[in-house]
Amino acid sequence: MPCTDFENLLIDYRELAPVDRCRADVHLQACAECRNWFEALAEVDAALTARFEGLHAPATLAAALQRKVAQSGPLRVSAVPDILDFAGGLGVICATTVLACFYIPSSLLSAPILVACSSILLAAAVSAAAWSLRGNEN
Amino acid sequence: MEQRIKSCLDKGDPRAAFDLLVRLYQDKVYRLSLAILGDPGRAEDSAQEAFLRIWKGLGGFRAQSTLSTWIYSVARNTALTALQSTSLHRTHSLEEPSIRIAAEDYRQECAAPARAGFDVSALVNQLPARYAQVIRLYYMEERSYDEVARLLDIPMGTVKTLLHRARNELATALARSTVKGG
Repeated sequence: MPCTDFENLLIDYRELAPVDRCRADVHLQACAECRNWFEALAEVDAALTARFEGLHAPATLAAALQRKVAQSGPLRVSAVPDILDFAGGLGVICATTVLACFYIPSSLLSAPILVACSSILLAAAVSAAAWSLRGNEN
Repeated sequence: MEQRIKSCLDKGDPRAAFDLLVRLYQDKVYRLSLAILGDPGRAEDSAQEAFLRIWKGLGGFRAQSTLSTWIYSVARNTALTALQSTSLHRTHSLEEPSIRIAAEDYRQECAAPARAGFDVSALVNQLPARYAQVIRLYYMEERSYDEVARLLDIPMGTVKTLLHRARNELATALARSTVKGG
C-alpha cells in the first residue's frame, strides 16, 4: 500500500498539476514502498489499456442480428399516432366535457348526445390502453 | 447519424433505421455488455438480445429520451439481467482478500519473472462487480469519465470513486504479489 498522504496524488498522477507532480516525484524517490506500488499501478494501467482499448464488436454480431431480425418477421408498428398520446388526448376530452356541461342546454341532453359522450370516453380508454402498451414496448 | 435514424423512423422504414442503428451503436452496446458481464461470449449474446429488444421496441419509440439514452438503457438492463441470472453476480467488500489471493495464485502459477505475463483480466474479474464494470468501461472508452457515467447511468463522481478504489486494489494486489513472488 502507498503512504496514506500520497495515495491520491499517485493515483491521479497523470492529471496532476506540475507542482503536485513534483511533490509526488520527490516522495517516490525517497519511499521504496510507494515506488513499488506506483510501478505496479503503471503496469496495471498499461495492461488494462492493452486489453480493453480500441475494442470493437465482433463481426459476427451484425450478421447474426440480420438473420434474427429477418426471422422475426415485419415489425409491428403501433397504429396510434403521437397526437393521441394519453395525456394530450385526456386533456382534450376533459376540456370538451367541461365545455359541453356549460354550453349545452339540459333540454338538448338527449340519448344521441349521451351516446356521443360515451363514445368519446370509450375512445379515451382505448387511447390510454394503447399508450400504456407503447410505453411497455419502450 | 442519429438524425438519419429518426428520419427513417418518421418515413415508416424501421428496417433501414435499425440497420443504421446497429452500424452506429454495435461497438458501444458490445463494450457496455462486456464491461458488465466480463466475458466476450456472453457479452455478444447479451448485445444480440439487446438489439432484438430494440428492434421490437423501435416501432413504438418516442422521442421522450434521446435514441442513444434509450439504446444504452436497453443494453444495460439486458446485460444486468444476464448477470443476475448467473452466480457471477458477487457482492465482495473491499476488505475481502480474494483479489490479493488471485494475484498471488497467479504469480505462483507463473514461473516467469515477477510482473511478466501478468493477466489483468483475471485480476479484474476478481474485483467486486461494480468496480470491475467501471474499470473495464473506463479503458474501453478511452478513459472518459463522462462516457462511463453516461453508459452506466451513474454520477461522474461515483465513477471516479469506484475507479480510484479499483485501480488502488489492482495495484496493491500486484505490488504485494511481486514482493511475495520475489
